[in-house]
Amino acid sequence: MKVTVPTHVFLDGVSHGASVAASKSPKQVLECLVLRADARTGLSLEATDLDVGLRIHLAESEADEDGTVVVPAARLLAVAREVDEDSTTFEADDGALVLATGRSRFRVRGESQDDLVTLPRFPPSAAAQVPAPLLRDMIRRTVFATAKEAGRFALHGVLLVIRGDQIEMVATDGRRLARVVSRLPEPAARDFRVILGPKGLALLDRLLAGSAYEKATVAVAQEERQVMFRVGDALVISRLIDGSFPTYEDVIPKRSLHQLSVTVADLAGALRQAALLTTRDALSVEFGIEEGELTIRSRALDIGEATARAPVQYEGPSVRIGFNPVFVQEALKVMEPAASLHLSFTDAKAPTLLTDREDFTYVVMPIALE
Amino acid sequence: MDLAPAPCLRPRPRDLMLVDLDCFFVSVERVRDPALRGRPVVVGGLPGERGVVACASYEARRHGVRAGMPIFEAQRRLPARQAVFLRGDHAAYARASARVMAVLDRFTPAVEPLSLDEALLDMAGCERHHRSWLDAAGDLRAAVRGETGLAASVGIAGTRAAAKVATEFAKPDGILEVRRGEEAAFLAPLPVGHLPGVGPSLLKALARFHLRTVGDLARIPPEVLEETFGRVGRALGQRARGLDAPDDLPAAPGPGGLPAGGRRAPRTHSISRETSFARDTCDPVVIDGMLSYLAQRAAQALRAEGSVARGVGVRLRYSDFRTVEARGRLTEPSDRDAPILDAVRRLWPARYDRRVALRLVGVQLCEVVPRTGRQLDLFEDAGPAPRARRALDDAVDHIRRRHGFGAVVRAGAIGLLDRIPTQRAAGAQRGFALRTPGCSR
Repeated sequence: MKVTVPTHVFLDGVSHGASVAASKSPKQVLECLVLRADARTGLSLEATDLDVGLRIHLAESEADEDGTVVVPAARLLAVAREVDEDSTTFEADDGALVLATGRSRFRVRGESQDDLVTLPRFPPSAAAQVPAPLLRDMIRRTVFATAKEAGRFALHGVLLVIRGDQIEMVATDGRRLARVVSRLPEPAARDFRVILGPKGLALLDRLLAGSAYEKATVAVAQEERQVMFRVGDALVISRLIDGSFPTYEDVIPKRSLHQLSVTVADLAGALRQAALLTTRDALSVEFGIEEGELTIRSRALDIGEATARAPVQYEGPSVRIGFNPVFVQEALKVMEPAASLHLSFTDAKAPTLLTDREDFTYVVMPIALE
Repeated sequence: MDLAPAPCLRPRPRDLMLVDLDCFFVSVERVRDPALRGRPVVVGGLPGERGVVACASYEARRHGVRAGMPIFEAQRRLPARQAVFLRGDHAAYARASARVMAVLDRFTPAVEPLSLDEALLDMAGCERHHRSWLDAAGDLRAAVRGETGLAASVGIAGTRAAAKVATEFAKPDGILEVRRGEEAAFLAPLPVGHLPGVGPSLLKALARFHLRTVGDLARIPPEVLEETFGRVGRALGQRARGLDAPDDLPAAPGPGGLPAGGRRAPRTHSISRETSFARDTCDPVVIDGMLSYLAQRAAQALRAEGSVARGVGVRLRYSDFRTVEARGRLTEPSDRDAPILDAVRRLWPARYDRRVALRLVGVQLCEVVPRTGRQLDLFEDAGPAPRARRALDDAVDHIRRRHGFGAVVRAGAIGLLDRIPTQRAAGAQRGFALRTPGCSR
């Protein structure tokens, strides 16, 4: 079996696959990529760590006969990066993958194909169709807010709800919450409400970043304990996270006493400067809000203090609220720098709401200043 | 161009006095009960109880009893009819210590308490009040004895290390002055083990290089010591040559009030509570209950000092003295019972992996820092439940301050009530009797 693929396509595919494959697993095959050659359709690539699965067909690939090789993902990625011709050619030889480039030759030993995991096929009819740019935007605006540490209910995932023509994604780690609600061009054939892990969504985000999918539509389907996303020649499978998502509607403030507007870039700049003098153990800044001006202060024992200011539109009483700067910065990163940000708050202990667009809601809990 | 001051190669010796109270816990007990005088007294636990010797009188030391020795071992060594064993009363020791420190404060404004029974006095600037340092030390000892009934030994020297060693030689109930400039000569013939900073493992390492006396150490160039033993090596060399190591100097306020060089106040510390069981146990209810109880005691201490902890550790000692520890981190630095208890309950079962009974358990809160602000929780602080939980912790602390710790315990620790004797002495802090009360607060 001999396969030829444009190098950039191969490298993209292998990197996506390597990001899915387990980095360390007692089951060797989960650390591997499965390369399937088909004489009619060319090369396709599979990887899974049992939580997330990926199958992707590599465009413009050619194979002289059918065949399969299973090789460790990290090794193959390292080798694929060494290719400096426009097209990559490799062969299967006794279960190993042999790749020659320039004056070098690599022979990557393969794993047994006995206990390969069979990835499911996308069902004949999708539950919903989501424009790729919309899905990507929703992922980017929520996935960062999932809990990083273990031990908090089912907050390690993003809640995805599709109901009629409404699509909603929510993520929270208990201290801040990000939520996007949007409309689908066509109502969904089937409603669903699932919690998905950040890994599968991050993969989808990277996959959709490719120019090939700019105008594409992602078909979504749920089958038993997994949700499948199909876009073009790629299929992403994400296992559902068990558990119940907290009742987040109650913690989003319906009405706040005060409103402030500031340019995203101005706030990000001031926050970045103030955060320079914080420490991991004292990760907090103080927002001093006054008419026309926002003052962000930080103070860390043994390190020093910083004060940074940003012009704002605000009319109301002077207020001081403490925040973890990271929680605010992460939200600012997904916004357009030139956009105008609205900050709604009631007092120093109530949830504060940030938004730059009608469909996006970001709620942060303050740090109670002592 | 302005001239920089010539570098001072040998800093002027300081005028330091290290004051150490002799057999502190025992002496306090003897002030309370003069009948204990002249008899071997051991503070740390009653005979037949679990625990270790916290303090032994000189009469008991003559029989080979040492601090840190198990109580049963002390019991074996002492004549049963004369020996007196006491559990200890930390509150009384703290009060006595405060009275002694108040006396010391009259002799110099620069009193640095090193522990309950030890303080370092920098006498700089007080020369005119005394004929000599020896006289000053005599006055100080008389004042301490007159006002508290306690015996203090004093070491006088130009460096912290020499003063510390001098005090050891001054004991019991004496004074030793090392003349300024003779610190190195005083230390040189002593075994290196006398030098502050040399523990058992460093002692072994030094022995491998045939460095047996402090004088041996003083002859090795500082760079070599640093290369061989690290930073601590350089510090030891300085002490051996009659100088203060950087850690021995007080933190001097630099520009902006921030400490500049010298010894810095530790940025974080830890709070531990541990106890041995009356009888070795492998009953998970007892183990969990005791750990939960210790965690509550530690959390209360944390709240009392206005700090939060980031790390939580548990320590388990099996009946064969093999000791294991487990450490975990809290998602947020906290001073609340609930997250600390959660962490303890996650940690200990995973570490208790032998089919052997436990004799001691302990809880440690580490990376303790002053509370600067508390990250509020969307689901806990935005609703009514959380404020209630916080109010509960505060109310419980309030009740415990008035009626003793044992007045309120969490249900998890209640499993212990019928299994472990509780201390109900009037005036004593109520709670389960910790086996080494002299050392536990």
